[in-house]
Amino acid sequence: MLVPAATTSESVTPATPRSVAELGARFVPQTLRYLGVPEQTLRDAAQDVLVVALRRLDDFEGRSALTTWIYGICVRVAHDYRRKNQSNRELLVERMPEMTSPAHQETALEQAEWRRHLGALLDDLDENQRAAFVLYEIRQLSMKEVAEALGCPLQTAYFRHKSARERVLAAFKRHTGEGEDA
Amino acid sequence: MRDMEDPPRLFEAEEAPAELRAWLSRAQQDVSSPAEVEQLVRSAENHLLAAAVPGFRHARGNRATAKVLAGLLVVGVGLGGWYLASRSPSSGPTSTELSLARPQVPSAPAPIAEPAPVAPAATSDEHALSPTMAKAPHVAHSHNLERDTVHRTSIATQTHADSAERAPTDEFALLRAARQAMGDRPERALALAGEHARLFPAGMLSQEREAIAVEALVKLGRASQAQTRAHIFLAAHPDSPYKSRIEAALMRISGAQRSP
Repeated sequence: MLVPAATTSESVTPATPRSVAELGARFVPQTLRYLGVPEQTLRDAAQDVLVVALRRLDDFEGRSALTTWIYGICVRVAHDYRRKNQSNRELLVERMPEMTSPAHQETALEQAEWRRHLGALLDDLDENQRAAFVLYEIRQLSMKEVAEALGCPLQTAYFRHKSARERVLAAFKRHTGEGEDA
Repeated sequence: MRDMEDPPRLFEAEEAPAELRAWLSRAQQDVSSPAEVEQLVRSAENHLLAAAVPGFRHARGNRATAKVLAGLLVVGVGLGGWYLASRSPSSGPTSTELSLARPQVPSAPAPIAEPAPVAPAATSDEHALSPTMAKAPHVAHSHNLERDTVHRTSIATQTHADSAERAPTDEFALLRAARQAMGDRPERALALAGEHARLFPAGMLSQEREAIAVEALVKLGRASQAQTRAHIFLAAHPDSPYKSRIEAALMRISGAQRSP
């Protein structure tokens, strides 16, 4: 039955701390940023996500994808950081921050610009809507994964996403002014 | 498998303003650079070391913490090597070791390190595996650098492959696409898992790939292939977090066979 002979032992590797750290570090800071964690605390928050993920790695049961699991941690850490910063309104003023390195051919200025615009739209959402929107529209999880990451029923995830989407579209119209009329 | 159809993403929706769609598309590709990845992993490493050593504040989770510490030491070496390699092909792992010299802590409980239990593993069926991989009979204990070399090569290969195909550009996206295809196009999911095996034979998500492949094979009714692949995987990774998922897929086979 088992044919260990023609093996390719490198083809399967376990979810080691290494793989989790590497994987998470790729998308955690950006996700936290879109979830509304202020730039001043972004690095700390990202580190917290990784630390939590690494500490709890033994608890990961594989019922969801590893990435979905990490996104779930992101959402909870973002929630904590947003709450911590609620009293410091001035921190929240600087929403979508300067980026640390430009992506691809895009200039730093361009990137900062669209991030700022997008951040302003996301700021119009409440926390739950924002999380559903970010995970579905930006991180491109399936709705089932969004529900898993948010720890809510699937229908709730659909509803949050739908409301978020409507609000983002409305906010876009407001932010761009008359746009088509003018 | 889905209760409802997922709505179209806004970045693809005709009715969404083009500018908003562009922002969303850019945000989707917004990931950390290798340097940022390295920095973040290091800071997590430092945090864990600092938290664990003085007084063992986290004594409750000692086993897990020790594993994490040991694993992170390997992360430092491996990730640094990967990063340097991605910047300059000629750089070796030596400079990455500097990053490990940095921690102020004596030495992590290395013996507890789980040396990537790579056993017989892997699959034998279809296109999932590149023939070149078969030449590695067993792998390196704690020397994940070997794995990194493979990974690096995979990345290099990937850049060529990506330009020629429409497949997602990274490991993570590839498997996400595979998962998404699982619902109504298991053959596509299997093909993407195969593509992942080809591009990222030692990838970070290779366990997840195997789970996807087994599930896809089950859905396609290729029971014996699914069983073989699952058994090989489970023999190599008896404690894998994906074990229950794979076993659940196998249960579906038995269920189907009982009620033809």
